[in-house]
Amino acid sequence: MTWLRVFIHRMRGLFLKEKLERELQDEISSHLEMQIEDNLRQGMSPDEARRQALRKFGGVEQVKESYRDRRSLPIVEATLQDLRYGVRMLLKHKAFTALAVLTLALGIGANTAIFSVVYAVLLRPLPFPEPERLVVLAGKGVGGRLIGSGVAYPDYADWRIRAQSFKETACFLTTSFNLTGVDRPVALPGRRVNWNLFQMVGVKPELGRLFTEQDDRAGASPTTLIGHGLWKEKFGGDPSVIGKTISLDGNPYEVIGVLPPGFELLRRDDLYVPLGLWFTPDNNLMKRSNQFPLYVLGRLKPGVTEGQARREMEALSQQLEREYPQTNSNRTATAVRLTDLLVENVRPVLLVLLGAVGCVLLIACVNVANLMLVRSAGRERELAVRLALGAGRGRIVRQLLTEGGLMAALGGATGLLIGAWGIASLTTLVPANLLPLDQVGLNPTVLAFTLCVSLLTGLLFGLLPALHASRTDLNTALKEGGRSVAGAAWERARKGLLVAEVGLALVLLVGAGLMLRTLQHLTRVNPGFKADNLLTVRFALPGRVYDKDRRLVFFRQCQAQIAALPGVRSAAFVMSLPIDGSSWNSPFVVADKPVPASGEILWAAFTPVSANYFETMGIRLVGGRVFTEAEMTDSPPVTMINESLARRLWSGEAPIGKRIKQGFADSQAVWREVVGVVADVKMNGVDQEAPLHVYLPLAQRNSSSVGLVVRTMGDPLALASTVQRTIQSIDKDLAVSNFRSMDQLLGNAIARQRLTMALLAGFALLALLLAGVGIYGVMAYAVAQRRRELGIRLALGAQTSDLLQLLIKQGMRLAGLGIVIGLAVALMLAKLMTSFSSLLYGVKSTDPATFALIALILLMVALSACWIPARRATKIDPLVALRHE
Amino acid sequence: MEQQKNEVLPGTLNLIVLKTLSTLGTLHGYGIARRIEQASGNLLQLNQGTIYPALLNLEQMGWIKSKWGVSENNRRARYYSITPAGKKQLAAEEANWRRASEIMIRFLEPLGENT
Repeated sequence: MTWLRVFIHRMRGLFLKEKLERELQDEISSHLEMQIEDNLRQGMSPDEARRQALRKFGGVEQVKESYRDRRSLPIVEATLQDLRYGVRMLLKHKAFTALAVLTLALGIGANTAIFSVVYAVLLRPLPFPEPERLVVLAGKGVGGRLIGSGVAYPDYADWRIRAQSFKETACFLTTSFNLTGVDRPVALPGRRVNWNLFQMVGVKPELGRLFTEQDDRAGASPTTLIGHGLWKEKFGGDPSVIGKTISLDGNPYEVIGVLPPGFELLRRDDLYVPLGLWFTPDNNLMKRSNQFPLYVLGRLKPGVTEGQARREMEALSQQLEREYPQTNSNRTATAVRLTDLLVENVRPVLLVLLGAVGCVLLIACVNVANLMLVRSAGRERELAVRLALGAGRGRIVRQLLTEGGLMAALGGATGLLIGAWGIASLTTLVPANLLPLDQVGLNPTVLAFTLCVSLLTGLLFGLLPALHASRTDLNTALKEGGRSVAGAAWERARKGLLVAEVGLALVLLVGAGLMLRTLQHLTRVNPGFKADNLLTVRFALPGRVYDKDRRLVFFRQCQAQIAALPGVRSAAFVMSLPIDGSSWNSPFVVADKPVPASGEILWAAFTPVSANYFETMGIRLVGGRVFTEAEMTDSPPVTMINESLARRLWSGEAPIGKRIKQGFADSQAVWREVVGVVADVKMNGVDQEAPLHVYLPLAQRNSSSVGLVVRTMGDPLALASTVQRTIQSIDKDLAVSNFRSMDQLLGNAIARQRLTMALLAGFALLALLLAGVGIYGVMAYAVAQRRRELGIRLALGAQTSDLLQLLIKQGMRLAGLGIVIGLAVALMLAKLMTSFSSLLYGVKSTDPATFALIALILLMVALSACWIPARRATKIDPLVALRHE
Repeated sequence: MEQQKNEVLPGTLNLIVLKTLSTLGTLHGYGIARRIEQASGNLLQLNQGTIYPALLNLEQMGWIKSKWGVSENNRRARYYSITPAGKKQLAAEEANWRRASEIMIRFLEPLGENT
């Protein structure tokens, strides 16, 4: 235990330093005085007495020094000393420090902000046990999507019986409910679910209970579970909500429980209702038909992998295809991890951005390392003197590392501020439907990340100069009389760093450039209709109140009243809004063509529309006519198709008069005559091709869920509240909110790319700036180093243009090398950007224009960064330069 | 002419200080230094200052303790005294030293004296 005792003693020494120092001083002086007194008593003269006393004592300072070494912890003391010295050095070179710290802070701040998002979205565990063992079962996706449509109930029933990979499965259906009786009527996102879904997921209710099997059958007393958000917003977080009855779509439901905060199943839902309540034998859902509204969630059996489950689902769909060739042909099922599905859209964006901020940080590090190298070369003499006076090399390295660490700490602290600001502005910049940003913030994990990044950067840029210094050759450094003699190796290191920096900046710029071009293409895409001055809203007419006929009455009345409003040109109804996604996709058959083999059945988007829809939207009529108001339930069934479909089926023939039928060959649907052809309209986002499209008259086919489009004369959103009042004057219980202009819909559709572009462009500009500063710094240093040489050249008659050329050539050689390497790397990375993230649209990953332009921009920046210091060099007065040495 | 003086053997200063304090009781640094010189018959070349790091070391080990007091001629001084642990340590080191020096002496005795 002696060591502990000594340690405590020494710790004490660390903190009581000044007191102990004073005591030591007192003790020594009293010792000396006693000796002097004794000496005087022996008859020495006062001077002699003093001299003898000091001689006998030995070196006072040495004694103190060895005493101090023992008194406290020398390592800690030395570190403190290094820190003090470091702070002094940083304060002495304020501009240098500010530049370095700011550079680092930008890099670290950008990383902190992006990492906080990555953590919240990709890394944070879901709030239930083993989320990675939950898989979503659905139709296989196309075009790079993970999943496609859902599944029909009978198929699910078969899956449940036959599939061996799952411990348990449950299905759900995505819908919305009109909540009335609480404030104004609102349409809320909700789901009909199997009773066992929540138990399977492993979520516990915050309040009340979950569904039981008894709740989940036709004829059961209707119950509902509400989300935490709804509970807080509409019920003020009042626990007495349990047992209350609320009205959904006009039906009473008893609230039995509240789900915990943060619980989401692929999106925020406010209401959950048992699926079984809704099942009746004549419900379409019960048929093995062409509607696939259900998605299935399953928990894998222990030991079964996602891949095994997927293969089983694929095999299972082939079985079903053989058994039900009419309905199940070409329908492959798949199993996808819930966690993968959650981040499907944003993962590539985030990975690209993470890569980008990583690059920015690297560039920042390289820049600071370069700055430090330049400075440490300038400090060579100081270090050499310290070495000569007996400082150990280890001590010097530690000193330089301490300075690096100090700088990194400052950079990290400032970076944290920038990061916090970045997070705040990200939250306002990013549309909520793209990223769930409510979970993003500076939490302990993010702080730990920032700390690690700062330490790592400190090490990274502190190590180089430290190594450099530790190799300093004493003799040369001192002999050369203060002129730096950075070895060739270090010169190369610095140049290498510069090349790397330019390369990294180029990679980022190319990424940003490609995104910019993508966005350019996306905003120029012709959606097939006139998007300006269009107001849109979706709502539902509750099935209990509105049968088919009453719906038609409502449509007519509503359309007429809205069209009569001042500022409105016309209004029309449509089942699925363009861009927003087609909600009804179905196979179809053609009258004059042979029944297609099961693999060749065509699918189209089916969209019931009111007669004036095409005129209101400004969709071009290509041939034939549009629907008329006269086309009623009992008039002959008609249809309109889009150009793509006409071309696909009857290229060269006139499509007018042909007949098609929704569903498979044996479907009960009526044959419809094609009366018109219209231009293609983008239904599923801006970057997706327009689907094959079949329009039906709303009078002949409609459903409870509708979209309203209003062509206005001015700002469409200004009319939203008037339109809402008009609709609710017809039926006050209709939940009509969430008005969006078509421009907003279009904007949301490209929000992912826009966000990527904006951030990438920001980071790329930062990189460009840093690279410019880096080149400038190195060139300025090189010029300073060669002052004497340049002076001699001038004195010997060199023209300033010669010198300019000499210096610029030197800098541009490095920049050029960086650009070439960067181009190669960018080519590889950009390919990655298309192949696995589908972020690009309308532009190839090898787009020569982008690459050329970016290279040119970087060249220009490099050129000006070389030009300024080179220009200054030509102003050197040879006499001054020569005398300078 | 000054007589030849010996350096303090490395590692023996602790023992010397402990022994001094154990014999004479409480002493200040100067007193200890004087005492060592006297005891060695002024044959020991001692840089008086070196006893202070040694005193610190001994105190950290818990073998001696110190407190501030006033000297015979009214000077503030730090007084050191041995602790029980120090006495034990002294006994052990003394025994060690005796053994070691006996061996050395035996080794240095001229051989064959008894033959």
